[in-house]
Amino acid sequence: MSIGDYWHWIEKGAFMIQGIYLASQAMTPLLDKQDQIANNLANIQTTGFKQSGLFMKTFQKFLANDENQPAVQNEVKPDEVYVDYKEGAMIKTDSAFDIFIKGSGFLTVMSPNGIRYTRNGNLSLNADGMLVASDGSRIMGNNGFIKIDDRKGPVSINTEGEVIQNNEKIEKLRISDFKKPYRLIREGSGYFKPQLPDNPIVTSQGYAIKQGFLEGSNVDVIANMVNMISSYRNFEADQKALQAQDDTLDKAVNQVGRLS
Amino acid sequence: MLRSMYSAATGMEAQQLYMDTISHNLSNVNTTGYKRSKLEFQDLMYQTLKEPGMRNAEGEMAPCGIEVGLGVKPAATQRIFEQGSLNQTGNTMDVAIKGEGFYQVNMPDGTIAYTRDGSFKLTSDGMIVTSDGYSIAPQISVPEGAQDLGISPEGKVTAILAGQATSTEIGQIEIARFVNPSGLRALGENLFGVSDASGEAILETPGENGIGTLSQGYSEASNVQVVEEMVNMITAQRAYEIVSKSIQVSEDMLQVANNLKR
Repeated sequence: MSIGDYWHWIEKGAFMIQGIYLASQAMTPLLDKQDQIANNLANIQTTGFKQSGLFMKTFQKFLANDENQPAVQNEVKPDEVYVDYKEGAMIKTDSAFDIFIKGSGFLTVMSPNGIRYTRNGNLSLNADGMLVASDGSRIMGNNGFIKIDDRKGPVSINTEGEVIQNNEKIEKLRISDFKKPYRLIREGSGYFKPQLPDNPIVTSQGYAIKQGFLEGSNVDVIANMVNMISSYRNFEADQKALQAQDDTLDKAVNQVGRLS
Repeated sequence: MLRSMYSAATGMEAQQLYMDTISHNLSNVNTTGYKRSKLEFQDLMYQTLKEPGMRNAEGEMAPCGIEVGLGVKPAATQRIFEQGSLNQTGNTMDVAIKGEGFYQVNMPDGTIAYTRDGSFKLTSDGMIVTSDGYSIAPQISVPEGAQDLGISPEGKVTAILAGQATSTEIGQIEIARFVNPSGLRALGENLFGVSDASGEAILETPGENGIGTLSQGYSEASNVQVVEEMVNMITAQRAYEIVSKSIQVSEDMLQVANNLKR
């Protein structure tokens, strides 16, 4: 029997059982929150990783227009995950094909699943001289893929993202941005995917490329530890609330009306 | 619930692999021509519980969805072919490459391997070989009684032959370059093998087309930077501890849930 089915036979005086369900509903989202925290902490060293958290929807009230079920239903449930796009730390690597995007914007990558966007600037050349991301997917410039003949001399990438060799511009990196970055879908491997046509891709305006640097993970260890502690204590408190309801019910059921 | 324990476990595994890479780098801090490697991480796939933009019961569009990340994976060990410092050894058979490029080495199975380690030796019949006794390609042999072996920055090998007053050219060292040296396969013994990712070797005379030049009497030190590796080691250890904490908390939460029924 599901929770919903119970409502049909809970009478006005039987609200105590409702308390048990409310406390249990508060516990489940805390487990989801712990999943988010564990993922953040596991990615503490992932280049270009963005930490995420869980918003909870609390006390969504509605009155059922039903004589048998007039109760106010207060539920807590996970509402949405927010991704924190705060910039990660700049890590110096001195590698010519490591780039850091300062400001808003994503590298455009042709992944096996289609065009994807990433903040991971750990690039290299493949055997054909194509500029590729760390999983081998080709990086896109404004006019197509970027092919570099490294026999012609060292490659530099300037702040606008122009790939330059021997004072000659080869191609400009396509730095994309989104009207609603909060609505991007994360795909793993550092890739983000927009939902089209709802979230159109725009050319990023405010960015500066730094060559020889990578973007560290933006996971805030202390904040995540504090969140972990507080959600654990909330979880314990909810458990106590549930047990207190259970004790009261125990009294009501087994001790009220006992003669001796 | 169990998701968080498994994501945290992937984090611990990744940090262990990171530590393995750091230890390997540190143990090769004095290896001639060694190139350090660096472990790259990527986030694992996400489980989407709710698509962003979905409408709720009241018809309002949710700006974000619910995605649960499943942890981290090591993506690549990238070898950093940064120049190591050149140490003067005074030995005429120590030849370092200043700049890009690899010596070619004939392997016993007939293939060619590539190395940055230029501490050459002579065999009893005058062949120039690596420390392990593999001859360099193309093979160069020094005639008996030759003196004052010289190797020019452009790779010309010269010597004063027995009974002569001036030096004669006895060979030319060619070095190889790759489009993507990070894609080379490490064979151990300071040797690298060609792979699909590295591309075919491109042979050049030292000093041409931007490839490196040779420096006789020098050997190339390992490019491992001890301070950097130590810092990496500290972060790896702390990250390992932090992730293990999240396993502990997940476990505690399970225990609390378990204690609901007394």
